[in-house]
Amino acid sequence: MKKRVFSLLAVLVLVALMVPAFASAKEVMLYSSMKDSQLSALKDAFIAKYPDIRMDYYTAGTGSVMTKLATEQQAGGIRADVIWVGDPTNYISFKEQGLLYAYESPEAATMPANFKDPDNCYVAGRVIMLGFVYNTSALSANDVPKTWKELAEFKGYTAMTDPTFSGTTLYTVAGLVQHPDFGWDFLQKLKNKGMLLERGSSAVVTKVGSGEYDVSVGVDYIARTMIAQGSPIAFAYPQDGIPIILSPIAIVKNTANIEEAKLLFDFILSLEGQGILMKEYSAPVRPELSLEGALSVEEAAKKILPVDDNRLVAEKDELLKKFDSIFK
Amino acid sequence: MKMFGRREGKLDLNQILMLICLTILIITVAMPMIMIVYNTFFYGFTFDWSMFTNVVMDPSNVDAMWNTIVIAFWVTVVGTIVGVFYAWLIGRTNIPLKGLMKTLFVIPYMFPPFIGAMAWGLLLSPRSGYINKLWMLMMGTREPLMNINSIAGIVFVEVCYYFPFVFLQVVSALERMDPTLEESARISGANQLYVIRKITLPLVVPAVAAGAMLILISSLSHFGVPAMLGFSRGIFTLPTKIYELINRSAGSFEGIRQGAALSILLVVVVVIALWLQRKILKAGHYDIIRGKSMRPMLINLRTSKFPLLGVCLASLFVIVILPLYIIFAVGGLKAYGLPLNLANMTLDNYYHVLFSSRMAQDAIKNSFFLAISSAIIAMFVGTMIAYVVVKVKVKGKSLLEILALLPYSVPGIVLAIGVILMWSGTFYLNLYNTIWIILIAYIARYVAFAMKSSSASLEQVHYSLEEAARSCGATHLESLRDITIALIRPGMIAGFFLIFLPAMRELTTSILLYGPFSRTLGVAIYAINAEGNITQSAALSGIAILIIMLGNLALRFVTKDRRSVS
Repeated sequence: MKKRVFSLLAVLVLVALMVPAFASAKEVMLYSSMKDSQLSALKDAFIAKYPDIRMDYYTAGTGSVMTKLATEQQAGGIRADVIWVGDPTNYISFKEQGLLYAYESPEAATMPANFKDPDNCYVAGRVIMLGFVYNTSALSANDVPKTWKELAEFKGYTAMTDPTFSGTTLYTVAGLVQHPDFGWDFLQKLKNKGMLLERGSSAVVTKVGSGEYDVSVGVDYIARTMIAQGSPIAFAYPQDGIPIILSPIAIVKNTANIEEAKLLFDFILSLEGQGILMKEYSAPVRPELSLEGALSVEEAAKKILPVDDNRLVAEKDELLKKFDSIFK
Repeated sequence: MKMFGRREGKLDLNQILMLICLTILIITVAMPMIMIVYNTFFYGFTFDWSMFTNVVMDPSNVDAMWNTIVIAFWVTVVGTIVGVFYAWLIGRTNIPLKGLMKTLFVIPYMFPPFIGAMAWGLLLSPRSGYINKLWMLMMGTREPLMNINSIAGIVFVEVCYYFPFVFLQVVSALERMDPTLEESARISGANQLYVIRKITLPLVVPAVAAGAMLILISSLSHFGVPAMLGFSRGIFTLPTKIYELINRSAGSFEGIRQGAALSILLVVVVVIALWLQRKILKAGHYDIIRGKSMRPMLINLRTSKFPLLGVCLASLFVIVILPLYIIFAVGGLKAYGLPLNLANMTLDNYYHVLFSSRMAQDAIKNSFFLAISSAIIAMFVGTMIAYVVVKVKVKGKSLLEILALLPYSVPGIVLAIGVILMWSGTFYLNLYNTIWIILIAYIARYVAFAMKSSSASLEQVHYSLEEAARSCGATHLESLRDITIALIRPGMIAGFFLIFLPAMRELTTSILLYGPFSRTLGVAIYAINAEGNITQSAALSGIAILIIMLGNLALRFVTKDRRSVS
């Protein structure tokens, strides 16, 4: 009797799991390194607008998303229709491999030229800036490092994210390494001062809130989200070079869902989509919008920590190895 | 003639069973292992030794190997001592509250170690851990009481959740031990310590050895605790290094091959450890344990009774209550870093993981699906194998037994790599990124559990019962169905839960196998935690713990039922 109950249960579970798998409908799949809360807000709004399209997303750190994409490519088919990860240089490789579909979105018309790939293979979907996140109960605003140089002299507990896992940090490290004023010596100095590594961009910010670290190199929107939740932290832009990352979105070539992918692509860039992201504390890419309390892109661009994308693409493996040899 | 024909039929059924079992085990267990060896040493079809030597010579991998050995050694030594001590205290002395403590000491056994690691991270992170904060506040220092992100920290957490392996084995051995041996030593004038040293300890050595071996294997191949605690200080063990290699290489085939090569190193370490342990413990093997239960003579602790009770309760508090409290409390915090008081409490995190996070919902659903279906399939396959091994005289059944028990000592992460190599298109079938690849790995991993549970019941079913049915005219199939299976059903159900529970909290294997929508509970907790949403991962951990505790209650209910039936 009990056995029969178990078998019945198993059959039920199997059926329950297989029904959605075989239901065919219009669908679109997004792979992204954004926060779950941002993506689920986007998804809810997208589904409300297009109720007949099944939108799904997969979220993980840029490194893991790239892992997933590489394995899927190896296995003979990328399952994503739209890709949206932190590190823009990935898109240069994607484009070289011919993985991207060129699409000129009407929503991108008002965006500045440097936000867009000249061949329309990808376009910035959000703006991320990095800076120093500090614990407000451990540090007063005066003690907070204001420049990278001060960070390297800072006597306290510091951390950053491991660039292997975080595209935004990889970009920051590349900016520091490529800059004549900083270079590898500077990273060595950070290590000597006791800077530790965390595994995720959110982890490094949360742990500043918990008091584990006094200051960390952190992502702006993550800090803003946690400040809104009540975490005792604040965010400061480094005065001698702000890492600015235009995190692009792109459509995967040869996908079966090309029309749905275009709709999602447009939706993300639209004023509505960007408005949803702003509610989740992400800075917008549309010049029509601005996020309160955040440095505007034009302002930040004056103090940008520049990165030569092509050089980063060529040196990425070497860079990570060198970084590991210093930090691990 | 008819008799002869029937005997032919019996042989056929047995052979068919044997063939089915062998096929299943070759596909799920043997082939993945062969794929690992093949991919390490062959490139295409040419022999290539360089991959293995490169990986083994890499200094960071050597470091990881050394860490693995050091951690496993200390966990085994300390865990065994702790387990034996408490087992003796509860099995052999007149300490009060025995029943309660016996129940409580089993709780860490069901506590998923990586959730324990998370809890201890929250308590003893060098600067933000709640205990360390309190300590620094009280002492007015910037130096923490203890840094959990260290080798010692990892050893401590693993000991907390692995010592029950020894504890459980030794408690049951002590209960089955013939007390007259101890009594006669006492009568001959030996003092208490001498009796413990010369009589009691040697008698429980086999049980201690079995428990210690379980700790050793588990610790050598353990992923969760070092992954949770070691990363920020760059402490790697072989399993976390394998994960790292595969993650770092962005899933390229080269990365998986490197992982495979490192897996071989891990298996070699496990095998050497097992061999050494067997060699060390071979000397002195006593088997004077009777099946009959007799009331053993209890040692009167006298004045040390209450201090020792205090030690027991304090360690239970530290191992069980404190981590449970911190998981549920942090799961209820508005933002991690706020003080733990009622004003900062909310149910939002629990609500979020249960009702609005796609990842968490998927994870709960997937883990249930995987745990139930792998438990059912492994239960039937395991019973079938157990039947062939225990009841049937066929050639090659020892191979069957070895194959079935192999995943027991093969680390989960190694099995995962084998399964990836086998099922990502090599044989025209690509299951990578789907939930089915995890199911296959779970079946391979847990068949041994079901086999052990079922063969224990099968050994109690005498041949004569089946023969009686056969002589009354039942076919082999009928006798199997109506006699044997009916009699071992409670064992099978217990086997189901023995698989369901570990599968529910599994992390080591699924961390390498999950796809966009096939995250398990363990993977989701790990990912949310690594991503930094500490409060949400604590909330999801709390839910996982509740599910596991309920499962354990069900297991107890079922096994009690079994005793009353037989």
